[in-house]
Amino acid sequence: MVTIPIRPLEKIRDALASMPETQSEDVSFAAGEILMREGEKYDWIALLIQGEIELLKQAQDGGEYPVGTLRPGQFLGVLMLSSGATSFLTSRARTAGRMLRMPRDTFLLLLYNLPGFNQMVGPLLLGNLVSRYRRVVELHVQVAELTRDLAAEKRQLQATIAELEATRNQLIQQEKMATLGQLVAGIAHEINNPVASLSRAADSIEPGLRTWLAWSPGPPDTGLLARALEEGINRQPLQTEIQRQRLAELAIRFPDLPRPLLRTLAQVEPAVFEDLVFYVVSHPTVERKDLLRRWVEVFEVGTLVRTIRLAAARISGIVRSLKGYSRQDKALVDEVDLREGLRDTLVLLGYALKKYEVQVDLRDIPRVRCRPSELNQVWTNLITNACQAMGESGVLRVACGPGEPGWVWVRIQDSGPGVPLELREQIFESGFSTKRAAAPEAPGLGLGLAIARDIVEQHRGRIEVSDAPEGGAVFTVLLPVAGQ
Amino acid sequence: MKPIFILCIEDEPEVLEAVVRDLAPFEARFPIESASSVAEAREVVQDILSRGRLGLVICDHILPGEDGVSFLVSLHRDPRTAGTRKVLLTAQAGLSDTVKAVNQADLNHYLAKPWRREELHAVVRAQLTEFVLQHETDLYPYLTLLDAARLGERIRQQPLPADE
Repeated sequence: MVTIPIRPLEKIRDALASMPETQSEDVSFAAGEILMREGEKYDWIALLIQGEIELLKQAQDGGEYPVGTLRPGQFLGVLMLSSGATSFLTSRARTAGRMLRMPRDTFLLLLYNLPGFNQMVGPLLLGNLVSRYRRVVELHVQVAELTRDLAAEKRQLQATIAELEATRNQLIQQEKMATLGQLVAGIAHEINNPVASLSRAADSIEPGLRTWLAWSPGPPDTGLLARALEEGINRQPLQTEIQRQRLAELAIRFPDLPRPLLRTLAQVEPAVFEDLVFYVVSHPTVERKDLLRRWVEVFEVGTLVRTIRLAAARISGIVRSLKGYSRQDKALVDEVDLREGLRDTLVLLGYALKKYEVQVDLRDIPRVRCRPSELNQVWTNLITNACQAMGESGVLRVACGPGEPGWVWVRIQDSGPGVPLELREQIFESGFSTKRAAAPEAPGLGLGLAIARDIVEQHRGRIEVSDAPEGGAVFTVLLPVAGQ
Repeated sequence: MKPIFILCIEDEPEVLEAVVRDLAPFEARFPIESASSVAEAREVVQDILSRGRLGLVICDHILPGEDGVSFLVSLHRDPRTAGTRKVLLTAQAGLSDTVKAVNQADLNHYLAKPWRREELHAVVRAQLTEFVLQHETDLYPYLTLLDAARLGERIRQQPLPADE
């Protein structure tokens, strides 16, 4: 191995200084002094004797970045040595120091022509360039490391953003449910009072009417009219088809009676009706014909009482479902029968489900520790999605049952086109929506399934999508009985 | 003269009954038929057309299976029922459904539930008057039930039997 001998720096300095042909001068500089400025021309080169010089490069963003340091024994201006181009770097003294400065032309001339000079300076120059090259390699490695770190940080940031987004969605959802809960509690209170008085009135009107009927007509007819009231109250509405058929028959049998009267008579139980007809026709006095008219009137009053009762019961049922759905104690963990929430959700979505055939199969399941109103949100989102997938018609199946020990499952199945294999993960991501393309006037936010998954995962459960054997998508929610 | 029918379509029996009960006064001249689904309504329409004409349809919006708007659209496309007056009775409807009903089914009126009896009467009276003006020549039988002012105006413009 050949090593190039490098003489001690002080000796070189002394030797160079003692050669008058080098035209060298010993220059000292202060800390912070700019010795060369990037982009400017310099016609000298200098050997650093003492002190440190920082090399800086200007970047495109205007900032100055350190790219290396010159120490004693290294040359300043070496990059311009052969080309004579403008300075590539800015050199700023980090400390005070001294350098031996020579005109560039002279330096080159001596380097090529004076063997003694070459022997002294050549190895120094080579060492200089090698150390600068090392520095370049180091910088490359640093850049690669930084790039790797940056990519990792970027990934972490993305994950954090996704997490934040999920949390935000969930907060929005909780806030919405809380607002809904307050609204519902208010509405329920306001509605329950009038509904209570409505159903109480409907209940009390029946004995009132009976008493009134007992007073008004003559004794032999009382029984008939009381029966008319009872029939009206207890009558089940006929299917429109059967009703039309009976109306047509009656119209032929009693062509003189007006249609509204016949329509009411068509509602009367056939056996009761025949008794009535026999009573009137067997002895058709004016009184009996009048009685027929009164009978129909009383019957109608009975049906009205029934309708009022039914409507009141339905309103209180809906109010109950609303209260159950939005549970004011929403933040509280409770042990509940999931079927209640499923039923409440189906009642409240009733108007949207009319188009579809709905099959409900809710088997006995253990009670689950959960936040009930949040799970209702899951059922709502899954059912609404199923409807949107089916479009105008289809079969919706809602089922639940016990799974592996300690688990229950809830399944929402539609008869839509199903979920393509490649989208099965994506559909649960927030912002993914197929509704934008399908219904540009009412685009989805793509939050439904993302929220559903968030909620289920918070209950330590899982949500899965698969194909139904008969076509369509099946969303299965698995929940641990112990829950939260 | 073939009778002019009114057809009511509603899936909740109590609500259907209420509509028919409220329309009873019109039945003196216009027999009422009812159906609880679109499929049934189609059969009833066939039956009505074999015996008379369909003057007015009052249809619920959301029905099990096919919905009311699509039924009204199909009625409008059938030349035999294109002139039938169409009223949508609904508890809730999005704007897009209503727009579709107006544009494609030539919907004549839109009634929100719950309705008031007088309101329903006014709508039905106006629609039947319109139908009768477009399809009948002898308007006298309708003077008591329908819009007498509009019918009377038309009668005054008609030539007296003596003029012929």
